[in-house]
Amino acid sequence: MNSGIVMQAQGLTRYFGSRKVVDQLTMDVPRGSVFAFLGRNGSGKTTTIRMLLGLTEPTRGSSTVLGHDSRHLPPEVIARIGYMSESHSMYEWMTVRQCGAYQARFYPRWNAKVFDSIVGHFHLDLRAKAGDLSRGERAGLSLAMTLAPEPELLILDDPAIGLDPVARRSLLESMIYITRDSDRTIFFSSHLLDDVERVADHIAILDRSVLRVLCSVDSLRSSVRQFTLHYAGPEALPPKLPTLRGLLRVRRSATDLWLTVAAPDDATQRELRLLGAATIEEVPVGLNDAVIGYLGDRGEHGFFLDGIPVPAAARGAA
Amino acid sequence: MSDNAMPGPPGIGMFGAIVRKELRERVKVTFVCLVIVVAGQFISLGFQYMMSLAGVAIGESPFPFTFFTLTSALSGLLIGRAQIVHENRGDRWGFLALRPVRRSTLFLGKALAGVLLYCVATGVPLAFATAWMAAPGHRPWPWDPRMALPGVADMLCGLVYYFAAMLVGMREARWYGSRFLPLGAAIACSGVVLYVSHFWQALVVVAIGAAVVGLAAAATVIGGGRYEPLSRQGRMALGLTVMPGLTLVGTLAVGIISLTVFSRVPALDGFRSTGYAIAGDGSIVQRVLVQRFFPASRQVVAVNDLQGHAIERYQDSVARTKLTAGVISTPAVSLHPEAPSTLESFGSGYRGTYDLFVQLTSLPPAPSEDSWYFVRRVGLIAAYENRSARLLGWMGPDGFSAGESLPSHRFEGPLRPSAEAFYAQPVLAFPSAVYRVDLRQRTIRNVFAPAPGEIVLGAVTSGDSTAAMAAYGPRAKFDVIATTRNVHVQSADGTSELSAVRDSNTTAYGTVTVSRALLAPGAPTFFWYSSSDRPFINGEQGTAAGHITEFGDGNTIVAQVPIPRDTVPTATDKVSAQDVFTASTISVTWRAALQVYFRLSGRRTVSPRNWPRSDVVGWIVSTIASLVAAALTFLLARLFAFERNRRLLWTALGFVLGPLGALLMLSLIDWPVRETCPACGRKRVVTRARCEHCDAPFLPPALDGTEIFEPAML
Repeated sequence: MNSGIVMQAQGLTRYFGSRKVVDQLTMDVPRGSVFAFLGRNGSGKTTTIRMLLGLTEPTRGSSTVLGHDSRHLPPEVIARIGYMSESHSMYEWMTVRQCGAYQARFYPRWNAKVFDSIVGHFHLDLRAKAGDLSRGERAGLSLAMTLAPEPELLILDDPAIGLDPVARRSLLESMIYITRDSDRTIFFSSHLLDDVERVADHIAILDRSVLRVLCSVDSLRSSVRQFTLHYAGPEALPPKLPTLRGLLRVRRSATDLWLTVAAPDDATQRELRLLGAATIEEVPVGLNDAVIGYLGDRGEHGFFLDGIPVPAAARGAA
Repeated sequence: MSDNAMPGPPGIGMFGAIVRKELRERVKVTFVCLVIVVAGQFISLGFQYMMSLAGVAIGESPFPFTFFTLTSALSGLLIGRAQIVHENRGDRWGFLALRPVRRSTLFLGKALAGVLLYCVATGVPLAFATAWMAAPGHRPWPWDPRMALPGVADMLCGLVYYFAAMLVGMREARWYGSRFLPLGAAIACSGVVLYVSHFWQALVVVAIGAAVVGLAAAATVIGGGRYEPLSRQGRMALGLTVMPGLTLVGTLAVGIISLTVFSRVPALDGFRSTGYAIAGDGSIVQRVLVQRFFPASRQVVAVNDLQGHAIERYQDSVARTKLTAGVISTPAVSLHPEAPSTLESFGSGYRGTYDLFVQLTSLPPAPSEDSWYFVRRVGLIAAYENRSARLLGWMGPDGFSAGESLPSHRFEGPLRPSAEAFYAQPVLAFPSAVYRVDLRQRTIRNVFAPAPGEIVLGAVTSGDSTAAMAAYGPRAKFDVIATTRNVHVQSADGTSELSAVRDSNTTAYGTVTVSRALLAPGAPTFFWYSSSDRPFINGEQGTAAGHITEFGDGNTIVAQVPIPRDTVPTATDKVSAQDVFTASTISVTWRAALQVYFRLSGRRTVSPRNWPRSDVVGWIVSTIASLVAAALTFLLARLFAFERNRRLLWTALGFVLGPLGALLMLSLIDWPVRETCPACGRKRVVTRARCEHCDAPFLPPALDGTEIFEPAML
């Protein structure tokens, strides 16, 4: 294995019944990266993470973590991995202190100071039972239990879901704290694109179980462009767009078309010119728009509530 | 876990931490189990108390342990289930499994804690109940530490339920499908533990059951619940665990279908058999019986002479019902008391008390306030007061002595077995003496002493029925004593009435029954020797070849009649749809194995040349069933692209196990989805990297032009 790669997936595929939830996923996660793993709900992110960790058997394909087959990770390798699930699982009858004490038994590099600091930061009462904690507090405790073993590879499955802004900020700061050591890798899934933009340096996007993006964040930013096509009048706008290579998203106004396109090249420019616009303006897009281009429906779609008639009472009031 | 527990040195105490966590986490369910077991003990002890007040024998098995069979199994199920179902899915499983410890260690930690909790929930009540019953004055019968063994066996058997529940909880199978099947292994274990005679056999059964089901549970927990990741041993253990459940469910299904679909099949209308009897007129006749099961009935439909010719006067059904009127018979006396008999084993074995003590319910019956037991260990009869459970005293050959001190003079040698399940006769036979006891009067009388060199084999009485005495006179009441040389018939006061040397050609017979036809001219006496001393054994009852010696006036031998072997109840030669259906569920190898077993165990088997048609059809149908099952397993294995050896294995299992093999395959395997291969157009399994037909690899997902991949990351 390349020592610069901490996780590797090769043709990773998983079916649930006859439904394919991950389709031939192949990727490498570089050591020292903060790797954002994005996709809509149900796109296969959690299943992929679970396969990488050996918690779910892949239907086909293979993966390695820290150089070891995911299906047979030895304890000494697991000791180098920190995993925080989206539900922040823990034994609810244990107190915060007991959770730490219990977890410490398993990890040779348990750092009690890290645990205490995070627990203190989240203002957790050491005598409080885990089952009585709020979602944010549970996230704090879960984070403390995940970070205290000083993991070499941190895998976070949508850790910020349901957290208030303060807890979210604390989580982000913790992730930044982890990356003080350049050898440490964070692999996380999230729906919060601002957080992704703030900390991630690499990104992968799953679109309906298929990997569409695997690159650095900068590459994604530079590769996704928005083209604004100005037309002389509404009648000049093409009623229906032809198939354009790399087209992610289309918006339309009376005289303009905004096209979000992935990896445009000269051929793309030629295709755009054929659309008969008076002018074509190319602008870069932010990471948010780029990612949403991938996560939303491809091509041109009206607002999904368009076409629903306004109730008569509402018309009267207006 | 203490609230002040501080992190210890990493790596040390990891296993202990798992065990402590499990112990703490399952306290509630353990308490529930404890309550269930204690409640069961209370109910059964109360029931037992009420029975003892009525002087009812405790019978084959002490009752607390019978309830305990159920409550210990339930406890095993509850604790095993609780330990798995809360942690076996999703993120909770990730939280448990993704820690730097081997999954086998995790399982062992869980199992150790679970077994400890199970032992607390069941062992503590068992120990208390045992100690309470052992204390004098609590129960009106003798106590022996071996009486605790059934409880210990049941408690250990509960461990099989514990592992089966873990397996059921963890296994990824449909709840309405094969998920519950591992419980069949535990139920089968319980059945065998209840059936076997010796405690060590029960221990072996439990050890094997716990090892197999435990291994299947361990492998399934380690493998995350699916079949494919299991080791070879794990797969074998899971297969062995699922098989008894499939057999139980299959048998139940076959039974229900037989009862519903085939309930009007003629085969169930009756099985015809023949037997022999002494008629009221002193003649020996052949009876033709028809036995029906739905509803159960047994009816004499014809009476023939020994050549099989119908006897005119018994054409009338009313005459047939009075066929044996006036014939008084004793129960069979065993001529080989040292040989094990079904009768003897009825209450014997480690679950019964027959080997420890025998309850005497001799006629005339003892007062219901008292219970009497022959205690084998001390060779004396103990008397208890039922209400107070107080030991009243002991009876030896010299009579009854009140108080707890044991009389010095004891019965010599083993008590010869009785013909009844409980010793309900007043005649007690020992090798060197025969006694008549009167428990109401608390008296005992020596009524027979064998001649030098003669040993008593058994003694029975024709009964103390006053109705029979009134109808037929004093000759209706007689005792029979069989010795190594003679058969003695004597009156209740010990006066000899008939003493005959056992026929030299009767030494091979196992029992002798003495009958008197009191309404026949001269009221002849018959000695009926039978080859079997196992009158309760299934299928052999009444099938023995026999020999009857008839004594007339002056005790002279009037006749010696060999009795042919009775015919076994057999179905008619007509082959029914039910026969075909039943045969189709059994593999031909199973049939063959049964034949071999019957031969090895010395049972009578019919030569294939003489098989009835139903047997021939049965073998043919079973052979077809095996071949169909083998073909089905082969096709399934090919359809789902099994490796060659695996395909052969399942085909062989299909043939050997028949339909059970096919069902086993369907129950165990994680059946993968099949998709159309774009290269060859045939269906291929999705678990293989390449198409099993054309070797084409799976194509990567189609590109839509939006892909942004950095080559270095692929």
